Amino acid sequence: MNSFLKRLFIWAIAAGLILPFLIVAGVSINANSNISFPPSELSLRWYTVLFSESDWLIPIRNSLLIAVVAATIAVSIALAANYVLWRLKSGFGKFVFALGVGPFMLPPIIIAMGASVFWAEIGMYGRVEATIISHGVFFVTLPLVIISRGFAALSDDVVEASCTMGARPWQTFTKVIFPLVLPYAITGYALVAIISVNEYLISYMVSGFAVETLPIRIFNNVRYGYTPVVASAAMAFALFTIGVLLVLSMITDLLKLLGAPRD
Amino acid sequence: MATLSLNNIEKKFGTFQALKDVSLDIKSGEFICLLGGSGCGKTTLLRIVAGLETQTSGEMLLDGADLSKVNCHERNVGMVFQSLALFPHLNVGENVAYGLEVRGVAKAERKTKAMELLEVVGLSGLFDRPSSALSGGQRQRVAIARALAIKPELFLMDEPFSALDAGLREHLQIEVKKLQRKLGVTTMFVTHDQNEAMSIADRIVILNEGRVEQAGTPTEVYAQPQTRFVADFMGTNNIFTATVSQRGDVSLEGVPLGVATGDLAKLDGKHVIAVRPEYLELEPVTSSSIGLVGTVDFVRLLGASIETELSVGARKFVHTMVSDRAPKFAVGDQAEIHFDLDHAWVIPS
Amino acid sequence: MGDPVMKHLKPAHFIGLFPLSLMGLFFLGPLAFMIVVSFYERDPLGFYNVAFVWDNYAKFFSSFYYTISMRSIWSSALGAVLVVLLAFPAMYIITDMQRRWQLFWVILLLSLMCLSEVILGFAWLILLSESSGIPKFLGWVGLWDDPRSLSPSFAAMLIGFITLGFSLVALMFYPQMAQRDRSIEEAARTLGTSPPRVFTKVVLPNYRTGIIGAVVTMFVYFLGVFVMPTMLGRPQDWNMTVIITDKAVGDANMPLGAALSVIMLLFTLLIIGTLLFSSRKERSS
Repeated sequence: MNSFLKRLFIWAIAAGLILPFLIVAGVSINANSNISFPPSELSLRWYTVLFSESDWLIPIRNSLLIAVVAATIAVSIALAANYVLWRLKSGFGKFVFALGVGPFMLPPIIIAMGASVFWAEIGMYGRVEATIISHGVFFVTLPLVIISRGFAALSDDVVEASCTMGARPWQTFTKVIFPLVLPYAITGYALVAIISVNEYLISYMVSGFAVETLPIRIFNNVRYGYTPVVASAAMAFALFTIGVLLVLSMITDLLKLLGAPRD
Repeated sequence: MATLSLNNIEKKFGTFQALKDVSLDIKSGEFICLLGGSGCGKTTLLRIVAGLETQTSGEMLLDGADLSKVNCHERNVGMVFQSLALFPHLNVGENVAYGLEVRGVAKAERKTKAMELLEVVGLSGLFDRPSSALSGGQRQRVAIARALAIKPELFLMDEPFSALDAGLREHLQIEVKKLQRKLGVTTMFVTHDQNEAMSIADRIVILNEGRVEQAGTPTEVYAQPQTRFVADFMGTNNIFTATVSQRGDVSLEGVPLGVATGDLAKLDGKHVIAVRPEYLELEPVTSSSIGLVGTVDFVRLLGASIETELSVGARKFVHTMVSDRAPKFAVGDQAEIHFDLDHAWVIPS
Repeated sequence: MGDPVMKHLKPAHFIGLFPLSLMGLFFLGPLAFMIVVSFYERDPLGFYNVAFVWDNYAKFFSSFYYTISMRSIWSSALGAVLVVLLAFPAMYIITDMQRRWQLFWVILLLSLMCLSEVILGFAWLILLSESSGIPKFLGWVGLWDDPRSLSPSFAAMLIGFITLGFSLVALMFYPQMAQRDRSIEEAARTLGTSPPRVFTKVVLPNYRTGIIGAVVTMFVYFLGVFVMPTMLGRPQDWNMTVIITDKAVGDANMPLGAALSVIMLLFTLLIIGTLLFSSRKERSS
């Protein structure tokens, strides 16, 4: 009785999480140009539109550009902050780390508002570089936390062993520390890239009127009338996100990276 | 190989003094065991020799040269850590060759040397094995091979076998001792297990609360303990303060124990003496018993021997005998305790 | 190597300047600017004029903003409680599953966590619409005579909140729950406790601080979401964030938007501060 309830609960949750996307998938392969489910005729034309019309291709390009550069910024900050904390377990290290956690604790609107005011004052309001930097800085928290797990797994004595065997500090870093932290850094990079591609509020408030990213376009479309292309864009998003994560899970032990114990 | 001189080493962590005035001279090729309970400072001392900690004061000379000035990665020490610290991202061969790699040795030569060493420790053929796919004993041997690959002047081991089961532990103890004898490398081995120390050390250094209690061969340390701590720590011992009268009668708080013989005969007054359990005899109590009478608390049948614990008031005594004789006493019985005073050891004050 | 007694600067200090400067400049900087701009005067022709007026803050104390604040607090709090109520037991069940299924769930949750609010909102918009979603299904099955779209509505907005926050909370709890000492629960079972009571009497109390922390984190998070209320909620459901964006960008009144954001920031810091303070007090008692 008890495990039946448990299973029911979990299936209900899974349904609640997955169902909307099944519907969106269905809408996206509808041959008609109105939004309806179930689809009367199947067609992939909306996906073709998505990947061939510049109206859509430009936002896709913008989103990817921002994501790739912002993720690099975020991961380098996260790596540096973690290294500093690990080396100098002191207050300075903790302070730098706390700064990295800060963005996560604040409501997104405050971050977005602050960023838009800042860039407006500096004179870079509306430029893609502004969004890139803001994304890179505000999304530091996730790679910061993930990489910190990497450093935690790096027991002190592995580094000491390297030292007693004659490795200079730089050699210890390149031959021991970096290889062991790399999977965590890669995971952090992939996650920031995905989050950046998906992010709406900051990109809207900092440069939305000049640089259209994919979420901005979708949101505008939903507000002002749309065709099923939007649904196919949504599905493309979802599939891209899941795809990257699947690849990640194959090259790393994703569960361990997120906190599961070693078997 | 290398001689190591430690002179007046002190180490403070904040207000806590981990090592107080430790001095030690280790001869080339000697196998030294640092023995003691947790917190006694043995691991701290080892880490100072390795260069992972720096002493607060005191001198450390390797072959006469000041070792303190040399950085950890420039000292030629090979260390086996308690957790072994094998590099998880490298396979067995890469682990063993690591020390050679950071010294710039060419790849082919590294491989040859690593394979030689793996053969010496009995792991030939495991060169390409990932380090996560090893048994406990195999991991130990890789750690040992790795430390020895760089031909160190000092070989340091920090309780390497404490996580293994008894059979494997004994096996590896013998292997390490044989290996050390063959290579002749000066070795410092930290352990809390006295049996381990007794089996493999040339000399045992017993540490207590940061101080050296005694440094000597296993026999010296067992039969001639220089302090009360050592007498108590090594094996089981009966330690008490006896009074020797001018006429040569030995008594414990007024209870006569017999006539002083051996070393005891030359002394008078109060002295702390230690008598091993094997030099006690238990007799049934009769009406004419005038000696020390105790009550049996516990009887242990240990296969090869029988151990009896008795209490006399608040004092405890332990008696042991070979088990081919049947135990004469059961829990609750009273027994008269006789001491073979020939084998009473006087602890120097 | 690494002598703790040496006090002079090590390479790590210099490396630390990199994240410090970037975070300081581009994270703390914007916050500082926001505070400064909140005191500026709105310029009807352009952005704003440099000034020092309290007007923008004064506007907050009108009934309009007061109602919206209360509404924001109510919907965020409700959403936070509901999310944790669902995610915590779900995580408890998931971390007991086989590794293969855990991986499935983790990927699902990670995807949802990264997925845009816009996509999530859109997906529920469709699911709750009369042309493609649940209403249509209920109508088709005969349970609803005149199916209407279930959004925009307060409930729809809440569902959006829950979907948004579920994966976040679940993944927040994952490490603790995956690594927990199951022998405590097993001991309770051998002593005769039924599984539901094991959950309420043994597991739950252990996570009290974690749960409270999660509710507060989600509360703060929901205060600041923009897309869900706009897509799934009616204008009377809109929270403070929507209004801020509306004023700042829609009306081009940055100073007002900044002032309202500062107020929200202070409120957020107050909440977080109270949480940290009370957890420290608990730890010392």
